Amino acid sequence: MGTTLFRLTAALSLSALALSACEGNIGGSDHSASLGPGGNGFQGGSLGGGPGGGSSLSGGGASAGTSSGTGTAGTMTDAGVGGTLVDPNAASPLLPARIRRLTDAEFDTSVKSLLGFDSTFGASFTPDTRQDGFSRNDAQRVDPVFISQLQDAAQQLATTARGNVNNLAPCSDQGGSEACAKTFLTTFAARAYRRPATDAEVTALLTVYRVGADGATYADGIQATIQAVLESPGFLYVTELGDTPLQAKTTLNQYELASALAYLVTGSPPDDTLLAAAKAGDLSDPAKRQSQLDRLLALQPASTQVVRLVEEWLGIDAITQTAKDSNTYPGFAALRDSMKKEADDFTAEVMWKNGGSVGDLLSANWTIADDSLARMYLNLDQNGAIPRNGNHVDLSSVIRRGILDQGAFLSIYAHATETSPVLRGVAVLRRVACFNIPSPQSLNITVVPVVADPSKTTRDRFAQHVSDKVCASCHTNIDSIGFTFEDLDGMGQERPRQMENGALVHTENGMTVDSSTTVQTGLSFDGNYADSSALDQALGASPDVLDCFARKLFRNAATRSDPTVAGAETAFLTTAFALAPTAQGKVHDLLSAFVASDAFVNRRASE
Amino acid sequence: MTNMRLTRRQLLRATLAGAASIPLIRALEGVSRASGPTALKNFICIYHPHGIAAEYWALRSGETETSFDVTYDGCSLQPFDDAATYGKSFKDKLLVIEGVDHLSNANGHDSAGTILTGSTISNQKPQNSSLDQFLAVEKGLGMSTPISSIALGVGNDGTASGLTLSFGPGGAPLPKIIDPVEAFNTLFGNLVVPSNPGSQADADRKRKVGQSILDFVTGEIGTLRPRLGVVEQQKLDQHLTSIRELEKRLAPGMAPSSCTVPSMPDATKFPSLKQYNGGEPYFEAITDAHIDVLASAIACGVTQFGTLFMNDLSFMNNPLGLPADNHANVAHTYNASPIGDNNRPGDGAPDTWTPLAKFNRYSYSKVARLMQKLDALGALDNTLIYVSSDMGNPSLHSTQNVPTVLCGGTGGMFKMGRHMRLGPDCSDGTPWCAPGDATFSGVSNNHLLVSIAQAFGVDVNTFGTQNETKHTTGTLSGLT
Repeated sequence: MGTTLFRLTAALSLSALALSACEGNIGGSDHSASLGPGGNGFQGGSLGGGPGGGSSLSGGGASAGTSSGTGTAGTMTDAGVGGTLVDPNAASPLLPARIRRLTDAEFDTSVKSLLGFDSTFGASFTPDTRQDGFSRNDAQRVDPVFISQLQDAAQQLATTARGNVNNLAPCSDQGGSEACAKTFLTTFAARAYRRPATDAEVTALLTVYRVGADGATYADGIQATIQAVLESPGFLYVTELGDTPLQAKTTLNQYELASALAYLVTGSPPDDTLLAAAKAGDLSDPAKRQSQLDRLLALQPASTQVVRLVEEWLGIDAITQTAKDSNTYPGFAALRDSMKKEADDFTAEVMWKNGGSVGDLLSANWTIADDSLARMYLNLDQNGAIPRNGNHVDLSSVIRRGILDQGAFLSIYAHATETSPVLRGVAVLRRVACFNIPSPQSLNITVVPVVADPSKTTRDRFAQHVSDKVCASCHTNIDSIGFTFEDLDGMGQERPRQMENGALVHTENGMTVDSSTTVQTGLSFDGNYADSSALDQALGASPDVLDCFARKLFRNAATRSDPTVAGAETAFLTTAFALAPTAQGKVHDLLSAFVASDAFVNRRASE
Repeated sequence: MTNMRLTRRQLLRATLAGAASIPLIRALEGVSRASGPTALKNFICIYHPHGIAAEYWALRSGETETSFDVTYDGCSLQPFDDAATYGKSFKDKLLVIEGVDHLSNANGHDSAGTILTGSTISNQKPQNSSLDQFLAVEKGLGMSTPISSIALGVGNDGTASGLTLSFGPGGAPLPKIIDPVEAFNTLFGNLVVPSNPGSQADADRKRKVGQSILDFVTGEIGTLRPRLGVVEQQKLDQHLTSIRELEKRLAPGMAPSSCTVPSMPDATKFPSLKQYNGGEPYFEAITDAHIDVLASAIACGVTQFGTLFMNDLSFMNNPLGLPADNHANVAHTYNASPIGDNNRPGDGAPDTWTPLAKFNRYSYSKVARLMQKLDALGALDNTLIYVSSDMGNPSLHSTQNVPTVLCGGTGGMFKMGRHMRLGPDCSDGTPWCAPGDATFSGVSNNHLLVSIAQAFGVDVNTFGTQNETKHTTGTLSGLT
């Protein structure tokens, strides 16, 4: 706990110091609301706004604020009238009991597991609502648009499955029979619901069968039941409710534990081995859960899950939604898919295949890229030889280290026609370091845009940020990080290079780019950096970044990131921070701690 | 059996081939409302991006609430008084309101969700449902039509708070339909009468099976729901609401009304739909198709509640002649005079006003197109359209003094043909005030939402979620 408090305090006191410089420009209630989230690592914007969010979080902020000597930092805000009620049990180390709708991707994997053939319907559904960047969360709903798309998908999937009815629902009775249907439905519903089906559920499905087969065929009846199952709550929702009426502490049943584990690690429903473990009651044993985790994590689908975790954490999955001005960056459109593939392959190799840590992810001197992207990185022409080592492209000769210097991150956090030190700096602080940067709006600060000026470098234009006292309070931190990336343009190419006084420099508008900065956030990666590759290595070695990754992994694993689960998050981080230094920042060790924990198994009654 | 394998969409395509006019089934007759005969019937909310160039939008010197011109050179409101283009002037059905604030407590890019919710944005979403959902679903005003409400969007199907107008209970975002063909199918797809007896029987059987599946799902939800806490039950309640929407589509047909189904949007006009994925050049065609489908759906009584989330025209050689990146090079470069800057001193840069005003005029031209279509179908006089943006001054990302326009028919509920100017947000000496400051006297859009709810016959006096009740309580004075 000592570690936890110390680290929380470090983050909070920083925010307090930074903001105290803005006194007079910041409204009181916004001030505390934005600090509370900062103290808990909840990002500004995600939680900083509402009265409910403000007050629920300032509990954590208050204790940390007091210990850092800034008494006002954690001031409780009054709950606004009509605001969202804060769960009074938010400080509980347990997550609330609930149901969670499958994500679009989970829908497809679940269909495949159930019916045996691929589904791409989920991918065409309305996109997952995100929380804290993650698609696995508490926000997915069955709304009128989704249900319409679901119905179309279920109809077509059931039609396809019907073509295989003799294997799926074999029947020796001539022309099929209700007895056969019942046999089929008992196993089919169990597979779909990831637990044994109740008699009442089978009976209800038999009613659908009768309507479907009435005046038609056995296959028609089976088809109707398959459609019904695909639209059923038992299929669509993962439950975390246990078998008894909800109490202060409710234990999930074995099958719920199996589903939680399977969707967490593989993004798919439980396989036969896991269901057998559930049936045997093994999953109450933390060691047995951990050994199931080890088994599942070695399966190929786990690679996809790890990549999803990292990309949604850093926002890199947005590369498929990123475009550039084709006059300024004519090469971008052709390289976008390469950038996406690089992020996928590199992340899978580092974090899954190699079992590496987030430090490796941020500071590797190699990548996995196709020829065109490798040539861009290495400043090679069409015929230049690419230094490959197996599937790795060696980047040690250039100023590029880790995932933050890759095309995807650099393109997403930039504008269509130019770089953006602010977007890059904020992304590093908020996402990589969990350092709260309040939005100017929440601080009542009027933003004056930086106007285009071809006679200056981007960095020179942004000098206004630090000359203006109000802006400087935040932008000293933001820009000092963002400027380190200034050697790399809005799609991640090195800017024009030339020798200057015997040293290689980059130029913008004919002027020398200065990417050297002093980072003074108060976090453990403070220091002087020549460029982003130097900063990347410091980030990779920073305990604050490891902590942030653990926090984000928790939000993805628990599929919750809202203030009502702040207590559970704190409890997990206490465990995570106590891991051996070599284990911190690794997906396996963090997941193992989560899966073994009390919070994985038990729930509290929600409101 | 071949027909059985056809999807609803395929069936519809087959039926509609070449047909411009198809008998339409009204699933249910309108139900009478407690609120009296003058209550409004249809509601549409339209979002346009990039705020406003106030210099070409606000009242000018010498103009008054009832005596003002929108046809002067450069004025973004021109389409509302342009008979040559839209058949008639809609100026007498226009109410421009200056000085409305969106108290989102969020950056302007995240605050479109405040427009219809009147809620602060927290945890990346508003805290309550939007007005269209409140009226259509919670108050049941949309339950008598085949589709309770519809949310349309151009180019972007994201559901973040900055990309959405419609929200369900607890502020859960509702996805937008970005494909006009899907919008058409959703609104009209199930209302077509099968032409031959074979497909009629097929349709009957499908309806029976479909209903039994929905009965089954409803039953399963009924078993699950009591096991949940109140907040979790909201998820299943929304699920049940969605099932009712599907059930309405299964309702057996009745005699054709006088309404005609429009022809299906021509998908070849928008080979790509998505922003950042080649859709931009087709955004105007998509917008037009959405508007035409929506106008027909309103006129036919298929739905009474719609939202449309418009987009910009960020592509090379766009028809407006604006820079390819509208966001960076039109909205962000806007350098306002005091009227666009909360009365802060400074001359601004007039050459930055005109490109933004031009874009604003484009946005309003789409509203005028909707009015023209509704008018031609006889539905304008009972349709209230609420138009707004997520920002006032876009380069500041300000959510104060957002461009607020009401138009259409109000049945005398609101006095139209006016240009209102609300009081300033701050006293003269402190033009830098903001919500939360003691000197702030801005008017939140919550009051407008209360007024609209009342105009629809719903007896409420507060709407939305704000830090102070004064911002959520009471109507917007001066509307009537």
